[in-house]
Amino acid sequence: MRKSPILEALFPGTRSAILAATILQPDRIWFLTELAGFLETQPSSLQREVDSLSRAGILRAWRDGRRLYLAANRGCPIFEHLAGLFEKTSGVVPVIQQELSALADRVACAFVFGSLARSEEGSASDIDLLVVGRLGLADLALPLERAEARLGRIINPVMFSADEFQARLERRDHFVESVMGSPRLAIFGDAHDLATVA
Amino acid sequence: MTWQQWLSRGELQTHKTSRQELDALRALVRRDLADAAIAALSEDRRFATAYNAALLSATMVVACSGYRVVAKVGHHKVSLSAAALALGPEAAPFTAYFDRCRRKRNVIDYITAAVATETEADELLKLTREFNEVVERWIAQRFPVLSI
Repeated sequence: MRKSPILEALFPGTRSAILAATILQPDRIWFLTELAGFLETQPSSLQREVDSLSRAGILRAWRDGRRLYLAANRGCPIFEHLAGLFEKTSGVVPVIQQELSALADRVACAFVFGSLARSEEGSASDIDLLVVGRLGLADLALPLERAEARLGRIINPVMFSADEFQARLERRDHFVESVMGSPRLAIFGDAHDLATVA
Repeated sequence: MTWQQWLSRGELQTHKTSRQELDALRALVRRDLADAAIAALSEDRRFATAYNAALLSATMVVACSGYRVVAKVGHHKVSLSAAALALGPEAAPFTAYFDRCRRKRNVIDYITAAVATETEADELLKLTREFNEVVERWIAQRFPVLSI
């Protein structure tokens, strides 16, 4: 789960991570150990926050035998506001994934780079998106317009064919090298796919 | 946005075009399409030049519609949006795309270098040629006296 400086300031520690995981997938039911695994932490470290969030009605939590289940509470009066807040911060990757999903079979790899990937973004930071595949900016224009509206941020796409990306890697192009040497958030594909493209 | 709204915001003025003005714009479009195909140029320059050809094509549509875009902040967006309004559904595939290209071209011309890729420059050149064909077909149908 991507850490957002904005969320960290509002909800320090594991609270923002619990909220992001549950609010961004509001129909998913988690059991506590599963959520802990997703957040790469121990169930015991989540317990106090989960209790607090469920007491406030932000999460629904219930027991079935020994297992503790939890989910976002869509009935919470501030659910829509929280969903908007998390979508605009931690939700960058899932929102772009959703909006580009119809193009996924033509994308070799796509990732966010720059300040967002480094978790150094400000409230007005743009989203830098690199896409490699058999498509163009014309294909991305409308899906990215929708993603921008949902995220409240400008998205700056950089589009490469696989051949051009490979050629730039081979000639050690400054831009491609600096992007590849910096943190990235995978939208589609991963480092293996990049190697395949290359 | 409507023509009237652009007029009231001072972003458009009424204007009577001529065959001479249209032919001058056509010459600029031809020049930019040819220059944008020169492989020896940087991808940035090819992209910005192809974008200019798209903008000039939009300017032709606005002129034929009886308007001129006032040169002030945001006038590229007005040109492209007004052309889309005049052309109707046939322009729909180009509208969001050219707006994105407008934003990239702003970065290229005013902020930083090495922004455009070859993939993007090639695509913009191809789609600008197609857009210009749409524009010329529209002029031939609506304003035969101004057509090629």
